[in-house]
Amino acid sequence: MVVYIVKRLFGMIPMLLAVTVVAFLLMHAAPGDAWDALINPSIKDVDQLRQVQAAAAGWNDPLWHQYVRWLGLFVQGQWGYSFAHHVPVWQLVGPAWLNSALLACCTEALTLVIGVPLGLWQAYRAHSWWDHVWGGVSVVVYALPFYVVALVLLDALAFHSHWLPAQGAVGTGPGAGSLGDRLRHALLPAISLALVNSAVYSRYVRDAVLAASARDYVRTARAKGLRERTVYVRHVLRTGLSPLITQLGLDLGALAGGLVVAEGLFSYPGLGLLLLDAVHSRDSNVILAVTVVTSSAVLIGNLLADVLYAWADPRVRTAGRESQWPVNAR
Amino acid sequence: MTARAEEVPLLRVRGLATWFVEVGRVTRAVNGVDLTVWPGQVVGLVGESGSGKSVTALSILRLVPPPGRVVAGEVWLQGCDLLRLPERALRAIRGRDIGYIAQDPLAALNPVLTVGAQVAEVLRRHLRATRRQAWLRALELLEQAGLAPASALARAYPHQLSGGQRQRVLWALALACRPPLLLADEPTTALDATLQADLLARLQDWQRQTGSGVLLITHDLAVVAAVADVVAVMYAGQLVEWAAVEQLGLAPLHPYSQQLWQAAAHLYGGVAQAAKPAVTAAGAVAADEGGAAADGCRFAPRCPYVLPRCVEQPPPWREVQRGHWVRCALV
Repeated sequence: MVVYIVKRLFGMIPMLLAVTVVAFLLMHAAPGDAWDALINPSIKDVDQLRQVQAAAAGWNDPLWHQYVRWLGLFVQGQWGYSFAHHVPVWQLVGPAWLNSALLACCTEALTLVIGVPLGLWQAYRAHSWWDHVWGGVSVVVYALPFYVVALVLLDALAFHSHWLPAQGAVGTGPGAGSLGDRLRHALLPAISLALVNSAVYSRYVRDAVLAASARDYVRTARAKGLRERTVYVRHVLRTGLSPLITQLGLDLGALAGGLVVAEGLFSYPGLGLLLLDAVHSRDSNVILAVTVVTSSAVLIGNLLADVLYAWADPRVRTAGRESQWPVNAR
Repeated sequence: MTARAEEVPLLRVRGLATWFVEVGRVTRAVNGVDLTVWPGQVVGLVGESGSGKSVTALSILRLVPPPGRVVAGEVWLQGCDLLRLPERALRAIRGRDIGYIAQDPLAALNPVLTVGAQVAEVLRRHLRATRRQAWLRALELLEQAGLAPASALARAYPHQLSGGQRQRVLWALALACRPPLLLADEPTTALDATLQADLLARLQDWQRQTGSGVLLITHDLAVVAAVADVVAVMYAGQLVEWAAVEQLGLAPLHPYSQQLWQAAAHLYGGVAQAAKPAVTAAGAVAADEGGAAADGCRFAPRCPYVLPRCVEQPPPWREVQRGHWVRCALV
C-alpha cells in the first residue's frame, strides 16, 4: 500500500506540470497584466515606466523561458511576491488554504451528519409517503442554484436572527481568531454547501442501501438467522456504503481546493476568494500558486478516495494478489 | 406418504402458495405444494427453470423477496408452523434448525468478509460460541467440507477462491449448526463431475451421521438418482408427481416426468441412443398468471396426450400406488 501511495504521488507530478502550463498560457493569452491592473494609465511617461519594469521583471523574455524560471523558483519554495498586496505569495495562500480546509471539513462533516441518516431512513422506509416527500425535497434542493440556497440562509441565519456572522473568517473583539470563532464563521457557508451536498448523499445512500439489501449474500445472512441489526450493519451497510467513501474523498479534495462561488457569496477568505481577487488584479504569482494548491488538493482527494476504497473493499485491496491462495478446483 | 407410524415427519408443507403480486399482474410461482421430508430422507425436487423450486425453498424460510408473498399454506417443522411464527422466533430457527445452501456461491457470499468469518458468524449466533471458539470450529467445518488447507483459505475473501471452493464454504456454513433440515438449492450445479461426486458423497456421509432430512433442489436427474430417496417433480408451481426414486426411475407416470426422463436418458444414454431424436417438452414453461388457463392442467398446452377434460378442470392429486402420487387425469 505504501508503495502504491508513493507511486501515485509521483504520478501527480506530470499532471501538476500540465496544469501549471495551461494556467500560465491562459494567463498570458488574457489581455492585460499586473502592471495594467496596478498603474494609473494617465500618469506621465507610463509607457517608459512600463518598459523599465518589464525589462527588470523579465517580461520580454520568451514565454517558455519565463515559465521555466517561475517553475525553478517555485519548486525551491520561492513563490514570489504578490503584485497587488506586496507580500510574499505564501503569506496569502497559507491562511487562505487553512480557511478553505476548515470550511471543507465542516461542510463534509455536516453533509455526512445530514445526508447519511436521511438516506438510511429513506431506505428503511422505502416507497413510503415520507420517502417520496424527502426524495422530492432533495431533488428540489439539488436543482436550486446554489446562490439561492445561500442567500436564503444568509438572510435567515445572519441578517434576521444574527445567530451567525454573515461574512469573513474571523471576528473582532475578544476571542477573535480562536478555533471556536473560526468555526462560527465557517458555519454559514458550510451549512449552505452541506444542504446541497446532502441532497446528493441521501439519495445515494438510499439507493445504495436498497441495492445492497437485495443482494444474495444478504439473503444468506438472513438464512443464517442473524438479527436484523447484524444483517444491516455487517452485510448491507458494509458493502452498500463503501462507494460513498469514494465520493467523500473526491468531495473533500474539491472543497479543500477552495470554492469560488461559495466563498465569494459569503466573503469567506479562502482560496476561492483569493483566486477571484488575484484574477481581478492579474496577480500572476498568486494565480499560479493557488492553481497548484487547488489542483494538488483535488489530486490528493482522489488518491484518498482510492486508498479508502481499497481499505473498505478487499476485492480492490487484494487485486493482483490472488496467486497468494492456492487456486485449486477441489 | 411413506408409512412410518412411529415417527413424526421432519418437515410437512401443506398447500403452500407464493404469489408475486405486482400492479396489474399476479404470478403464482408456487401454487398449492404439499410435501413431506422424513428424518434421514433426501427428497429431490426437480423441474425446469421457473417451475417454482427455489421459491418453494425460500417460502419455507420465509425469505421470498418482495413483491413475492406467501399467501397460503402451512410449513410444519418440529411442531411449529413456520409461516405463523413471529419473526424473532423464526430467526432462531433459521441457520440452527434449517441450513440453506443458496444457488450462486459467488453472489451468496459477502464479498467484504473473509469466508472463515462468514462461517464463524452463524456459530456465534446460534451456539453462543466465543470469537475464538467459533473461528476454530469454522476451520474444522471448512476442513470437513473439503476446503484445504482450511487455516489459510479461511482468511481468503470469496473472490479469491475458485467456484468449487466457494461452494464448499456455502456447505460449511449451512451445516455449521448441524441442522436437522437442509434446503439445498442446486448445490452442485456448475461444478465439474468429480467435484460434484465428492460433494454428494460428503452430503451422504453427513446425512448418515446426523440423520438429517434434505430437500435437494436440482434439475439434474443424475444427481437425484445418486442421492435422493424420493423424487418430487414440479411443474408451473405445482407438484405433478411424487414417488420413491426407484419407482419413478422405472415408470414415471406423469407425461411431463416421462419427457424429463426420456430427455435425460437421451443425454446420458451415449452414442447408441444418439440417433433417436430426443423427446422434449415443446414450448416453454407457462408462468401461471391466472385467467382462464388456470382452471385446467398446467401442462395441457405441452402435453402430447391432452384431452378436452384436461383443459376444463384441474387434474386430481391422487395416490396411484402406495407412496406414488400423480397429478394427471389420465393416470
